[in-house]
Amino acid sequence: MSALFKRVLWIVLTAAVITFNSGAVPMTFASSGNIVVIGHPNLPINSISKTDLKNIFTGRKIAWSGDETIVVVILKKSKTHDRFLSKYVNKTSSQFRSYWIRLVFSGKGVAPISLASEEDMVDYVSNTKGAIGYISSNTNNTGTKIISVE
Amino acid sequence: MKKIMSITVCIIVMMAGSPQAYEVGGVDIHGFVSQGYLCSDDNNYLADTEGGTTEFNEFGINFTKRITDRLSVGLQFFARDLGDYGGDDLELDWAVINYGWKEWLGFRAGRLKMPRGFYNEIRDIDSARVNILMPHSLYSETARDESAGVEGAGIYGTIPMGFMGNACYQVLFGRIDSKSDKSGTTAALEAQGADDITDIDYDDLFVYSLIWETPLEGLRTGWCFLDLSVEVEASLDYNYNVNSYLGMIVIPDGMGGWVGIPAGALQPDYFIHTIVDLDIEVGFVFDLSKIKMNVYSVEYVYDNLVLAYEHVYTETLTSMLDTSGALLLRETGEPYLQDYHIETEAYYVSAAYRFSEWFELGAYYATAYYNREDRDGDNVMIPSTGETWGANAWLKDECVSLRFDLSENWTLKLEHHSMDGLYSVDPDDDGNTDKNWHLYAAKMTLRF
Repeated sequence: MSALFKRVLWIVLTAAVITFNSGAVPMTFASSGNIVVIGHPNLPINSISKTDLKNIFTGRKIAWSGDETIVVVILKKSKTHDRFLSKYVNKTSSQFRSYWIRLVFSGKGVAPISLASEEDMVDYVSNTKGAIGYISSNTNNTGTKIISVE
Repeated sequence: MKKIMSITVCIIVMMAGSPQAYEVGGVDIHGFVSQGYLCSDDNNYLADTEGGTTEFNEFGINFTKRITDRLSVGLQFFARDLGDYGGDDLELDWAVINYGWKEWLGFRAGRLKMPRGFYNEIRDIDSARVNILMPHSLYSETARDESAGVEGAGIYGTIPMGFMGNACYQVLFGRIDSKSDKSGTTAALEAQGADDITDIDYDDLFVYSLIWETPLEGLRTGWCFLDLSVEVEASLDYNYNVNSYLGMIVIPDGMGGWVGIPAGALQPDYFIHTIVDLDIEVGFVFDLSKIKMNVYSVEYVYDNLVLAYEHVYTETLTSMLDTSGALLLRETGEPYLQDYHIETEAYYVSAAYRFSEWFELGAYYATAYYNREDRDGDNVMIPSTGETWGANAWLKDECVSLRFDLSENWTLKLEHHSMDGLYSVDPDDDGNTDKNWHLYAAKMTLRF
């Protein structure tokens, strides 16, 4: 085992030096406005628990109380996406992506709708029944319902 | 079939220009294709690895559609080539109709992935893990065809338990349907001299899986119990000489190992009925009547760190009946019948840390024992040499993996295994084995 640990230690140190020197690791997130959870204006809720929000974005909760289908909408790679996942889903973006890859490729889930920008997110959520998503508080949310997270 | 595979691969490559799934008429389409390279300094493992081999690829494509609010259907085609396994034959990997009634109760039917341990359902999804080869101790590549899927039905759900966390359960009932003539069972029997495997019949299978998501964020524990029966009809052509095995007759057990029968005890009751220069053609029915597997799992995720530990016990009660009449009971003339019991044990501990969006490091230590009552392999003889089984009884694997995410679609992995033992390992091209050896692996995966 000692040889293994030496190898791991050597690789970890090398990787750490390369990675941190490259500046490629966003280990902390820049503050650019709070995260706001938004939904279609006709959603039957005004607030949601953090647990339910996590269950929705991990595909476990699939319908609103009125049996309407939940349409989960996520952003592609962005700081808002990273911050939402960290705050409410307790996953990094790579873990979240890996989680959904597992569901999709094992026949256990249908992947969320993925959009490129927050403007697209607002547009899609405001026009899609049952939709829920998230944006930065700096983004215009006209046409959507703000959902507070308890 | 090869033409279909080629077309599928081309489609995947063309589609992979975007990380997004493709949607056609409300049908989500995802896929992946992988090409790997394996090389060992001694022995051959999974393929002809001594000197290197590229016989290590896989691809899959799946189609999923949500029919109603709660009802969805989907299927995935899969093919792989790993030495003698798979042969790039396209197969239906899973085909599921899924009805999610409530969060705590859903129904699935069709060809389902088997929830054996935390990661069996995702064993073919290279993009979802850091390592190339999963720990052999639990996720043997040679047994993939028998452990990947179940044809049947089941229920599943997540039960919220308040401050106690969540309980996630799955119960499946069905049958394994491995029609492949390049499956693990087939290969194991052929390696032991089987020249005609007439039938492999998997009986009813029950799988129970329970996962407790503890109140400590990121910590989950699981238990899985599997109950299976298998009947294998095979004709085996092998040699044995009672005197050269130190009083043991050694016969294949149908699972990749060997079972020794005390010849002294055998002689008074049995005699060799059909014999040609000590080459005996024997038709056996291996009735692995009671296979019971218990898997215990723990996983802890903290930020970019993932720790896991899994331990499995597999108990097999086998009745082996000679249907060819080669061996007959001396007094009554009845066919040879042997019952025996083996419990295999395996475990691993693993760690993975993601340093950045493009780099992840992982390591695991895995151990597998063919017979937990005979970890050193002292109680079984090798037919061809008369020596004890020794290092063939275990495999200990120290693995270090590097994963590079070149983009959201492209993944490159490099891996080194330092091995101790020969369980499930083949001799090198000259027929020699070395119990301490190394395996190197590289793999590129494209996914959309």
